[in-house]
Amino acid sequence: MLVTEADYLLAAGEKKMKSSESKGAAATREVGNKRSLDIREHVEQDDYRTIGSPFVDDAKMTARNVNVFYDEKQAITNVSLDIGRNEVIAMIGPSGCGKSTFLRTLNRMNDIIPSCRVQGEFALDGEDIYGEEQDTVLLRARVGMVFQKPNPFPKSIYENVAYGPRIHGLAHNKSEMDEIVEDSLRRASLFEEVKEQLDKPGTGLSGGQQQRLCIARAIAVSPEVILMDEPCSALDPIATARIEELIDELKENYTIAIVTHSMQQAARVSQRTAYFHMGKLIEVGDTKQIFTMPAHQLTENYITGRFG
Amino acid sequence: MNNMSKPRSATPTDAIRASLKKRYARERRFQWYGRLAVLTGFVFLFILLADIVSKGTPAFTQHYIKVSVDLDPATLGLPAEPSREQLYSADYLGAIKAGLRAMFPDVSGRKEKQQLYRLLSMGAEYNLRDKVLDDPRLIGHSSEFWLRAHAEAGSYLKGQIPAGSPEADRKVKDLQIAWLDQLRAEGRTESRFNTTFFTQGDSREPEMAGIRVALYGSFFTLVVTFLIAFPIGVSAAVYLEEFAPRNRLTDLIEININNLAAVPSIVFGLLGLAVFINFFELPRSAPLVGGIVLSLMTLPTIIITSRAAIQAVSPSIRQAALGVGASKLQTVVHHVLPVAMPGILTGSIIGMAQALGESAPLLMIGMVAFIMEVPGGVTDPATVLPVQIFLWADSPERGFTEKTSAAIMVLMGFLILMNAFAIFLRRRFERK
Amino acid sequence: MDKSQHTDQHTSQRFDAELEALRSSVLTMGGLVERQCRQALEALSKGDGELAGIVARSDREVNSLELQISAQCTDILALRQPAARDLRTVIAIIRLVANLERIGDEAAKIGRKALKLADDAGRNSYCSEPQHMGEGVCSMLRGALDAFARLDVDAAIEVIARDKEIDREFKSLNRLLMTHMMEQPQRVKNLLRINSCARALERVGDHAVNLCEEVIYLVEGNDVRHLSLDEVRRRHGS
Repeated sequence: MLVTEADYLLAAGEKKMKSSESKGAAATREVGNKRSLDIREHVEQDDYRTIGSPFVDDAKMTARNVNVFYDEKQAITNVSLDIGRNEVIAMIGPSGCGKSTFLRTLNRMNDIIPSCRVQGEFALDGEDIYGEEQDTVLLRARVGMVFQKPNPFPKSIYENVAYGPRIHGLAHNKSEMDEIVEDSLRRASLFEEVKEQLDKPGTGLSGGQQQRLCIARAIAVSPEVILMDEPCSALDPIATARIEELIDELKENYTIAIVTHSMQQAARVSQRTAYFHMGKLIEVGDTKQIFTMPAHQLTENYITGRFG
Repeated sequence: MNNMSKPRSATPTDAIRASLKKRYARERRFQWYGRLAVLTGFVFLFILLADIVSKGTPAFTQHYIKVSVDLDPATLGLPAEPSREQLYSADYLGAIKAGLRAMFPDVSGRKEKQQLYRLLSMGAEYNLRDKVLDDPRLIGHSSEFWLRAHAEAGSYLKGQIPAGSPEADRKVKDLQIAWLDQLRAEGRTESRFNTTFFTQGDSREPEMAGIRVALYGSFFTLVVTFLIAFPIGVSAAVYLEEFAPRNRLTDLIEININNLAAVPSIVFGLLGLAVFINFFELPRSAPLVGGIVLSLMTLPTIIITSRAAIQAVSPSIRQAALGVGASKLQTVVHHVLPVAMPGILTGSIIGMAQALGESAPLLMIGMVAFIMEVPGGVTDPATVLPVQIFLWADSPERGFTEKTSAAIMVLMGFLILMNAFAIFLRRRFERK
Repeated sequence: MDKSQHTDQHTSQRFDAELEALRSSVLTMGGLVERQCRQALEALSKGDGELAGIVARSDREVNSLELQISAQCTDILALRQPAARDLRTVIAIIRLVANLERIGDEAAKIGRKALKLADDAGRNSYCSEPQHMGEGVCSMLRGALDAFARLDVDAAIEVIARDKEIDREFKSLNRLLMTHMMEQPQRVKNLLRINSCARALERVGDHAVNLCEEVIYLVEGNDVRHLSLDEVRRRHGS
């Protein structure tokens, strides 16, 4: 008994030393921590340089030095952000922080607002989004959008999904179109629920089904990026959970940027999170890091509910 | 949070309860005001309709008098083997007059005879002629014919002349009344449905006057109005609402369109006269010009209502369409217009109904002419229902009073039909 | 808005109150455990059988506090869905109370041994041996609790640094007791008891270190468990 106890006592000291090197997880955490330490230096300065990691290696979309104005009012100030390939990036922040505005600059939905002025460089796969030769129709086919309120067209379910492919000429005959519609509805995990009523109006579905229909409509034109502007704000928790599940599946094939008011949702669905505050991008980082140890006081305050 | 539970002499519940009675009373009172207002409206409408219907219904019947006419070729002034032209221009009036004289042999004196002849319409002659033309074998025989009664005689037979009124106040003289009573007693009078009213044009004789010209005129005018005003109005509304930039110029245009809707309609008539008839030398009195003038008048209404309908389309539908990559035009044509269509149609049909009831501008461009010939196209001279009503209302003969009301009934029927059509279209588009 | 950034207040004041209550429960528990340790040490060195009995049975109160705090943490996690610092606070407290409870167990263990040693006539020769080390451990524990109360990372690191000294003392105590055993083989049983008391104290020191690591995690978000002191210092110092 004595021997074992003594062994234990001796081993105790060494064990502490060993574990830090032996565990791979510890090493990676070390890197993460190092970064957060770098970040901390900036926190002290009260300038609004974005902290964290706004840039990624494999970027699907890039935005640099973005400024957006509504008439004279500046809605977004000097935001630079990458959206990585096949990642879900969540944009959070209090109302009026510019997160929705930023999302809409990514497929030029702001163009339809006459008073809106956008500055900055945007690229989709390195191709200038706001360039002279860029066609908004093509851009919006490549960067689809799902809106806050489910907004199916007042037409049949089939027509809702078929509309995009039809205007873009993606299907050459009826059977191809049927295939696209079924495939899109399946990927939006709606097909089983509506397969008997494809000719019924899309507006007759429940809120959650309508939103999934809108997602099916968006993916029917095979976009590369899907922008979602608070897609679950009008839905109940079950419908929300289904959409979140869907987002998780969709990220295999699409790049998704989602604006949400629900921090839990951002935490659940995204790999990266960007925190906006008063038109500025305060902090970007791994969702896990943002939600356990945000570097910026504003992010911390927002995430922990210390905001008025 | 603070002082919530502070005791007060009367709790809020008591205060609310005390005020409840008053509130409900006020609500009930207001409801009664509303009901009263609706009732008043209904009463006026009922009086108006009852007046029109009671005055107008007699116009849909026409009295006929059975007269035995001897179609002796000599009286008619016809040769043995008359040609069709000769049959056409034979002296049927003489034969009728002879027939009447034969029925009342004791009538003598020029004035009395005149009165006797005036029991029948001027058109009785044509009645007879048509019958003979249909069957020339009638010539040489004496037969009984139902001939159209004169409007005044008809109005007595319809019971519109109160008995015992002084003779000087009425056109139907005592003698005529005596004859008519006698004829009625012999079963020689008859009331039939007045087809003439729908098949003939205007006439100086009330019993011969019809609204066919006006109906056709109104129809052609409205077709022209619709074909011009609807596409132009909707396109203008779509452009202004969806494409035009918001600047001083478009603001100015908007204000002017709104003002245009308030311009008195007669001004449009003057414009039509000056521009289309005097300058472009389009035919006078034609539905084409009338339609153009009315379309100018309707345009602001259509533009304003269409814009409102387009504005009312939820922006989320536009975003949805743009979001899947539809172009602006595709968005408008595929999604905005179908949703706005019921509103646009309702507005357009209201505008068309306005145009249908319009008379003032048409007076200016000569659609007030006396026209008997039914128009065959948009360039033939015609008149329209409201103008016809205006003309008849102006005529002194008693016979035209009932025609006026009858024409109003037809006009209202027309309007109800159009509104029903609007509702039908609305339903159809909304279901889609 | 600017004001709210600095006042550190939640929009929900009840959440603030709940977190505050949680913290003070932890400090209450810490105070109890610290008193237990001191009493155990006193009972051991003075051979006070009565006090030793009290200590041996006193972990009941600590255990009930542990249950209460665990329940509070569960409630906050379920109802408030805390994030960032609040989340770390709750997580750290869950681990803190586990450590505190074990410290309580160790103290009770010392109390039980002290009870057995109380009637040994010759106990004076060896029973005061762990006294110095015990005082060091108690002050570590107090330091750790202070660091938690003030959320003071520097103080926490200072406490962690002291653990080395305790380890050293424990090793030399080990050797000393070994010598005693060789000299007085008839007392081996009691000496082994003393040894296990010393080991319990050493464990308390380790637990105090754990407490300090939780404080650092709570404040900075760095998980410094299983890291060397230098590494901990480097991360904080930079």
